[in-house]
Amino acid sequence: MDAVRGHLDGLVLAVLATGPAHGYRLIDLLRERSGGFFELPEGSVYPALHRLERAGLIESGWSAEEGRRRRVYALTAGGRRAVDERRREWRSFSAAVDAIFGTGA
Amino acid sequence: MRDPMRDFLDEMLTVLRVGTGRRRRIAAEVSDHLTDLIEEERHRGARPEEAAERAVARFGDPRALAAEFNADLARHSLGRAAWALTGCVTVAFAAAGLPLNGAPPARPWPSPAVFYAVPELLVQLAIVCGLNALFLTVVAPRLRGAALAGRPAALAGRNLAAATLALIPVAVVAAGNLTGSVPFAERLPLAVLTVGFPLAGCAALRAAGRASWLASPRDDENVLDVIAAVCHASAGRVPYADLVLRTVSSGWRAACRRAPRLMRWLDLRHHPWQAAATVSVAAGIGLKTPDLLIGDLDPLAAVIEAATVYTCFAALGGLLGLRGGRADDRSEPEHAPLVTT
Repeated sequence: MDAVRGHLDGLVLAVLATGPAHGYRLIDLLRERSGGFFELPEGSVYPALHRLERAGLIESGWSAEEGRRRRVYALTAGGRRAVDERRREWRSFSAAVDAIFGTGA
Repeated sequence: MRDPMRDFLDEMLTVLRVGTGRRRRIAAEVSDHLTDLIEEERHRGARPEEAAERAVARFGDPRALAAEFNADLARHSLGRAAWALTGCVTVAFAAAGLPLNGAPPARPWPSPAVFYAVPELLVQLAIVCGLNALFLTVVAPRLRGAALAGRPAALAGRNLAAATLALIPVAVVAAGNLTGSVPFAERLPLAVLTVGFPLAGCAALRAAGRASWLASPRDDENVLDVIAAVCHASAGRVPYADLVLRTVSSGWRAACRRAPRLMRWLDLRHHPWQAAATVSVAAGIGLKTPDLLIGDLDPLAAVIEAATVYTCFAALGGLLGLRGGRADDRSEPEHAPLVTT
């Protein structure tokens, strides 16, 4: 899971690109969208969220769900641009890795 | 009765070093999340105590979580302090440059010698340290795509502290001269420095203290290693950078093969003392070039300038991470060296 940690900020941004979410929902979505592959410690998402908020890529606000107030995170305009940029970078990187691994098949 | 959630929060908060507001916010978020996890475990059929144990286990190590928050705060503090100090250094440079290029104040405080010597010598040291810190904390992590950690973080802290110490006399002289008959254009940077420096200095010293939170025993990079790593990382990203790097590296290697003795005077990584002598002479010539162009060269001042640069390197080069280690007494870094002899 160490490899995932290096990409955690990008993954969190990508999940938030689909809509605002609180920490618990976010880690759930990460697990769900990776088909259960990303079994991260649940707490690991919070330093990433705080880091991204400090960088101005996400913003937080309050929402009330089932009688409970929760801090919900959403992408900012800068965050949306960052998602597009990271997506492009990842596609070029994975295409290059695929090209190398593919030759052995 | 034991409460795993309370124990988790207590352990995390013991290690957490962030401010009160953020501390409260982190505790509330973690507590909310753990409550959700406990509910989830109970829906799966776990007993209350068992559910709490499982939730805490799923959340991870509380100390590691707190350490990660601390590390992020340390990085943020270092970056912010580096920007603030660079701003102060820029203003100090302007404040030092204005009177040197025009008429001095009617009664320079505390004396004309100090008024000129302090900015001329110490502002230069602060510039080197400030730029070093900005490079390590802001530029290098962005270009390398890796978070600041380990020895570069400690070096950034040391550079910030050194720049702060160098700027203290500059700020004192600036404050002392505010009361004299100084023109407004000169009074403004002096006033900004007098007010801004204590704030930037405090931020820098606090950030330097927090740099230890980013310690990593495996990492022994100095500033020159970071420069090399940044060059290699940029080569893969910036158009033509790869070509430039390869051209420079092959040119350097060819020069080292043909004239190894001469090239030792330029290789800061493997022959720091000889290269420092070259840099000092170059600095002496470079800083006095304007005087040379107007035909008013002061050779003694040029020699003092060169000697000062060399002395500063000898005294502070190791501390600030500007001296390359010997190739045979340290392990090779992950990246290939930029140029080798």
